[in-house]
Amino acid sequence: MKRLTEQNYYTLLGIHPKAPFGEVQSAYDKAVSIYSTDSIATYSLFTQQERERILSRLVDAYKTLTDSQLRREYNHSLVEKGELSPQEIGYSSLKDSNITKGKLREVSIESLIQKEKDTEIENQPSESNLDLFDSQTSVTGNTIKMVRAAREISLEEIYRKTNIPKKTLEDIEEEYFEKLPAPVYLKGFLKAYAKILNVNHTQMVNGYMKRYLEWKNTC
Amino acid sequence: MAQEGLIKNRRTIENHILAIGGGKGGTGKSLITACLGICLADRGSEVLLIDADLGTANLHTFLGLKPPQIGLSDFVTRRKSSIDSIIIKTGINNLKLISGAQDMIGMANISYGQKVRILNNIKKLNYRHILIDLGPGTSFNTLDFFLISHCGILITSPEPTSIENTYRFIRGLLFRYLRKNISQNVVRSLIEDGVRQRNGHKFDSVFDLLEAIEKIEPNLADTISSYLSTLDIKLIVNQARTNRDRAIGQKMAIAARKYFGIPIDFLRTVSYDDKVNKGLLQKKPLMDYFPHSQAFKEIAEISQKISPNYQLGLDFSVD
Repeated sequence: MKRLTEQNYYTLLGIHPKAPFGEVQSAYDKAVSIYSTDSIATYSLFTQQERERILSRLVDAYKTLTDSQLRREYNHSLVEKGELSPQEIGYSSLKDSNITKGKLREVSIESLIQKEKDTEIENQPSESNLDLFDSQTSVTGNTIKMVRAAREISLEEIYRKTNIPKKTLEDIEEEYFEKLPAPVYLKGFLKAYAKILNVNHTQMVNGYMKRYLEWKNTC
Repeated sequence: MAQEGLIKNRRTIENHILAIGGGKGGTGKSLITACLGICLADRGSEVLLIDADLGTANLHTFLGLKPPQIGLSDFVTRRKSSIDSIIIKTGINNLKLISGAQDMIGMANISYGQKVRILNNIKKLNYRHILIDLGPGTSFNTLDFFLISHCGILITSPEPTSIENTYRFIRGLLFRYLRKNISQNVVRSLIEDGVRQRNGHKFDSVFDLLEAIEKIEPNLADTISSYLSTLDIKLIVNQARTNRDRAIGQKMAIAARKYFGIPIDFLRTVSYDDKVNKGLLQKKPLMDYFPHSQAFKEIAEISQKISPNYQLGLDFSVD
């Protein structure tokens, strides 16, 4: 067992050398959630410097393993070092399409560290950043959906970060009010959702709840 | 047993010693120790619980017992000379207890010799399972009790403070383990330096230490890695309330395995249950108020996983 920063990309991510794109993606997301600054699970285990080194390595791993050429070259280098056997790589069986299929996004160490800095700002007592919503108007589900699209965040990602069921997120955006949980839970969900979107959560919660209560009163 | 040779941990069928510890108080060690004991006893095994939470023993309370008249303290002060004479019944079939109640003043600070005497006598006992409730903290006494076990279970709650203390415990454990198992003076003083962060040595992780050792005694680093891989440490996340809480255990185990380079397995999450506080206030025994709770069912599942028979069935691989 080598130290974290010296493990090869497959060991670091906990995947098999033949892992297709989907597995690489999940493994990367999981690893980021373990090693990021706001991860409670690894609180106090690493210094900020160590974390950045690990996250930087994860980004390199993702970029390498999701690019056919880079991955082939990387595998080759591992075989040369004796870390992997040619059988484990299996050149012919891992198609290019399996490597890059579904590749969703650009990742960078800057975005991961920026995310951490955002969290630091969030943790301060003042309200979070963007005053996207006017405090007077109500906020529609569709508006929330558009903000989410503008930020290129998938429902899957919101679910992963907040554990709010995807169905509920959809119901919020589509304003299927009758399917939504009781206000006390709904407000909590909206607040968490707002934080991921990086908008003023008070405005979003109040704005949406205005519409919810309007509906409730007409029932 | 033919299968034993394939099992990587030195584990006998009789006298399976399990230590339950973890850095922070209030995470549920005593509760879980009591429940595990009850579950294992319920399946017909002879179980002994030992309250080694020196100076702050509570195990008897979870079992609904008034502070027993004899316990570990009597053995330490030699009022009772044999360890068998301080073992008491709990009123639950197959379940016995060595209580820490009625402890003498200074129990938390027993001498090295007194501790060794206790540990040696525990090892000679003959029960299917011996569960040792260690209590919180990372004192040498606590760590040494943890180290005589075949399997150590760490209990954490999903809060940062508890998690931080869990990692502290593991770090403390590793350095204690190494100090005790390595006789070479040069290496011992290196470890000592690392622990006290003097002479420019600071070991953030086991790898740092192994690197430093490799420079002086290359072969030893390998031997140490092997020692470390024989440790059997498991993790339970207790008092979980949210989905996020439940996701913590597996992440901790992955990170800790990679960071410390030792085998740490995540066992299970146990749910928060406010029946515990209410029941304790009424001083009822666990069996009265707990069995119908979700948390108890979860602990019962854990008891199946830690029973050696279960391990035998699975552990055919050689590491």
